[in-house]
Amino acid sequence: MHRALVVSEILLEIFAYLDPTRLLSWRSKRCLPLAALARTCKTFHEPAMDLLWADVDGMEPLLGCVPRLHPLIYRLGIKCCSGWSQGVESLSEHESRQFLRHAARVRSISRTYDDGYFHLLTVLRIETCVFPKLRVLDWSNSRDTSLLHLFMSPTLRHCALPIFHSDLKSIPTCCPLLENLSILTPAAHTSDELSLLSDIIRSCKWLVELRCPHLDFAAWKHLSNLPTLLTVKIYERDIHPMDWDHLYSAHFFNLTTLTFCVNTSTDVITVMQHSEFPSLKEFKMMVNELPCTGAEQLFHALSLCKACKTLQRIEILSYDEGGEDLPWTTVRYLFSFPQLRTMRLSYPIYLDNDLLLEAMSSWPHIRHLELENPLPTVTFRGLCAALRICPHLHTLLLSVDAVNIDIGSEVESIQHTSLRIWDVDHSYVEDPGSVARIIFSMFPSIDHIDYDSDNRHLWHEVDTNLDEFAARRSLITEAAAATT
Amino acid sequence: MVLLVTSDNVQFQVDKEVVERSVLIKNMLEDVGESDQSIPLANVSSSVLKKVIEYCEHHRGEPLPSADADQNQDETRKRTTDISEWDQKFITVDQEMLFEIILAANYLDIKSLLDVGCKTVANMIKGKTPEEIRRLFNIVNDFTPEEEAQIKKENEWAEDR
Repeated sequence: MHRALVVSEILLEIFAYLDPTRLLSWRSKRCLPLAALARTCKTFHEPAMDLLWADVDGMEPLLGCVPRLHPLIYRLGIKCCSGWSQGVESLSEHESRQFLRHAARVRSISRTYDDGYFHLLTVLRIETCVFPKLRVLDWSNSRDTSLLHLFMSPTLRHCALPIFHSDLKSIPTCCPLLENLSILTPAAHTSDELSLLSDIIRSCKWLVELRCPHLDFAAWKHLSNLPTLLTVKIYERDIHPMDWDHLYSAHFFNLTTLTFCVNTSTDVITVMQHSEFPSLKEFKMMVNELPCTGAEQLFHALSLCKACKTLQRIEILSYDEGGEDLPWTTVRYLFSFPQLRTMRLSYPIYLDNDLLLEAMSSWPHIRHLELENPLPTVTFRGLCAALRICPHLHTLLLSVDAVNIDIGSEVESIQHTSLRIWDVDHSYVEDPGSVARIIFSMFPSIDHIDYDSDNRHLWHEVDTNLDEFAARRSLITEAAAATT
Repeated sequence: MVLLVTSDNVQFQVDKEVVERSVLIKNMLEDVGESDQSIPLANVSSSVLKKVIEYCEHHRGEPLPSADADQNQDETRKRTTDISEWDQKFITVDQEMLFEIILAANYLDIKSLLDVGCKTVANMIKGKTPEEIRRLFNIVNDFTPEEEAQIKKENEWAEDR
């Protein structure tokens, strides 16, 4: 054996390239090379085992180290998925040591759906730190939080839980370095649970990313002063009005991404009205009910906070079917974001040529634009004038008046080459040939139109025409190339 | 120009810009300042240094990984075992030279060359059984059959993952 292979730092470098968790291809997830290296010789054993056991799915691999359980877990040489632990006696003291043999190597563990084997571990003392190097715990597939304390390592950085209850109160104390916390409970929350959640959040000092249900004012206040916090995602099913101190102005100095999945916009508006967000780049809201007044308040609040200078992505998706068209005065609030790259507004708005031109003048860097304008009052001429200001626009969802064509032969001189995807939504069309010719001339990079229209057969004809024009263009190009 | 002296006492005159791809030499030069003093490389032979200089010459001017490069950058680097065409041709050497280049890259602290060498060895290991790995690198099996069977049993989950 070459002397290079006994230098531990070189071995680790080589083995790291065989670590499945670092490979992009999911197919390479099999850990065969590391398992083979662990059996090659004693020099390779420890570094290979450290990498091999760093990332495990569920507890079965550890339980499989107990000889009594091994044949139950690996029937016919294949790992059993569930049910194997039913009626099996819990581990003895001696067996618990076998179970813990490789636990100190584990840095990331995800719980599988099968919770049945937890009764085997009752022998472990509550103060046992089973995973002293654990950094990532993904418990999101499981509903059983008994024995959660076994995973509460002081090194834990990322934690995803399906539920919260009183046991979770110890998380901030046991895991002082926690950076990423996701609490994914789908159930409705009692005020006691919400107060507990608030306590937990307020005890976390190094959060970078938080995903959780509704928060109270105290929790928001704590988060607003956390310099480490970059991403917050809030979702809630029920309404819990927030008692916000009207004098308090929240900073959120470094927060870049804010997402809400909510029933109503009330609390979101409150948060936006009282916060500065000087670094916010992404604002997303999925909301079930968004009345016209709510939308107006929300857009106004967004336009007034410091984020209006930094926001690059706004997505507001309302599932409220009965919403009225927003008046132009409200739409104008959305023109306050000069850095915007993506705007997805799934809320009916009124839009005409002048407003579209004004919008595009306000968003010179826009690349992705989705607006819901049920009344297609924007014409081809208006669209052409507006898009000229936004040379980077790549994707567009917008209805146009494709019936009253107001553009003639001058279309030849107008080209927007960046636009590749256009969804015309509910636009009507009467003369597919003419419309296809305009689109082909104005937007040479578009090869087909997406639509959600009642007269879909006519838009299909537009697409067929576009195909023919494209085929003709390539023939001409090929002929020209052959001549030269 | 910088004068390097190898373990077998051969002298190499190399451009400062080229030789500074080695963090060890760069730091040495910074410590001694402007000087005509030669730099002895007691752990590197002339045949190996020749190859190392060839590598550094080819990659002259490319950005060096910063000392405080964040962990993400390091992780991204490790996600692929792909090697560029020139590097692949360069590292097509016998096994002895391959490991000597790795040792030299580790000693001289030339991260990118160490990566190329280690990726090459990793690619050689892929798809091989323990016995094949032993044969490939002339390794003696120091496990008893019972120990080996025990390890295989414990790692069974990894093989059907």
